[in-house]
Amino acid sequence: MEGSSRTPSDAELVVACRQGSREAWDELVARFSRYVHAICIQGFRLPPSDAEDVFQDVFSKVYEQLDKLRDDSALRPWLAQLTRRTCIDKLRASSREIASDDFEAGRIDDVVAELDDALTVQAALRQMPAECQEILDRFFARDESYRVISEALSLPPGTIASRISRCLDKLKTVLEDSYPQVRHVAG
Amino acid sequence: MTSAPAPAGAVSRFADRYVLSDLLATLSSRTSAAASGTAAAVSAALAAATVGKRARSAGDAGLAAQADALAHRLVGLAAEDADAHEAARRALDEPRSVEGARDFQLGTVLRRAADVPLQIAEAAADVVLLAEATADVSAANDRPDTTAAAVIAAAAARAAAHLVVVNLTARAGDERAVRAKTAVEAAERGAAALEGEATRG
Repeated sequence: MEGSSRTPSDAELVVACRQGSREAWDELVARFSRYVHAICIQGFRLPPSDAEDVFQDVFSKVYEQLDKLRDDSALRPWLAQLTRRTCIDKLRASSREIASDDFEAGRIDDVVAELDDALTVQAALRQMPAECQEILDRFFARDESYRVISEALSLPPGTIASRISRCLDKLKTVLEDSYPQVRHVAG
Repeated sequence: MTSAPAPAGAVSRFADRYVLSDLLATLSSRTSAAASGTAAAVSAALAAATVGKRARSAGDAGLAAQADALAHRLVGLAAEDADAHEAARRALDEPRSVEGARDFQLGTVLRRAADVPLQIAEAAADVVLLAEATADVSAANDRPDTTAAAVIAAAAARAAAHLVVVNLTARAGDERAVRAKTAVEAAERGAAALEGEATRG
């Protein structure tokens, strides 16, 4: 792939994990740890200690039950479902009074959908040239100014905005070609 | 392009719809910590949103996404500036208790009180750079909006830079004052260039 080392798809990771690859397992956890954590914190509003417990439970279950996954490409929705059930169990076990707003299924669905989009964008970014990954990360994720980016990448500051714009166009093409299920965001 | 002044009812409906009245009330309140830093950040955010509108008119979603990101960043900085200002005010009012502890705490909050306006100045300068990039792809009759947005953002950068300098009055040659000055110069140069192009037609 142009400019970046190839990263395995979710399905390929599942196959490698089943074959006992430690590296694949570490990659799986790294790829989805923030997703699981975000469902706990943003979706179910668990306190950090409970979120940590759920996190450990979820990945233990994944390790034990990966053979039961029928569609290897459906790893992410399977993880989401597992996390939701584990969060609900945690809330019930702690006998915490759950405010009706906190538990609103529609709101949690929206949070998970947003997280899914974020993960999809991350996956698409991994297919981009390294220089695009870096400039997009610096501007959008790290909130760096055009001046800081221009100094770091030895580029004229007046060119940064148009470079970012071209990288976003490439990202859009990757998303449309590889991830047609991503929700359209009006430009 | 000029237009007739809006009827009074339309103005108040606009203000209520966009919660401007709440923002104005907060800024003008004697007890609220939000002041000129917040005003500068909000002005630059409005300029960014205007640039975003013109980027969308030009069909450049990439430039529009950057405008949205800068507007969002500046709105966050508006709130942070009020917090930093409040923390500095409280620290200055604290009586001297443990030897040196107050001075350390005061130094920390004053540094933050200078850091946030610096980020506002630099983000506002970025709005001007983005306005220049957007003007390059815009239709002629959209450029006045982009130019006006650049002028607003440059003024916001200048206001925020002033707040950096007054917070660092005890430290001549501080790197943040130099960065703030650089941001203002770049912003004013960019806005002037756009205005100059408009004059040349």
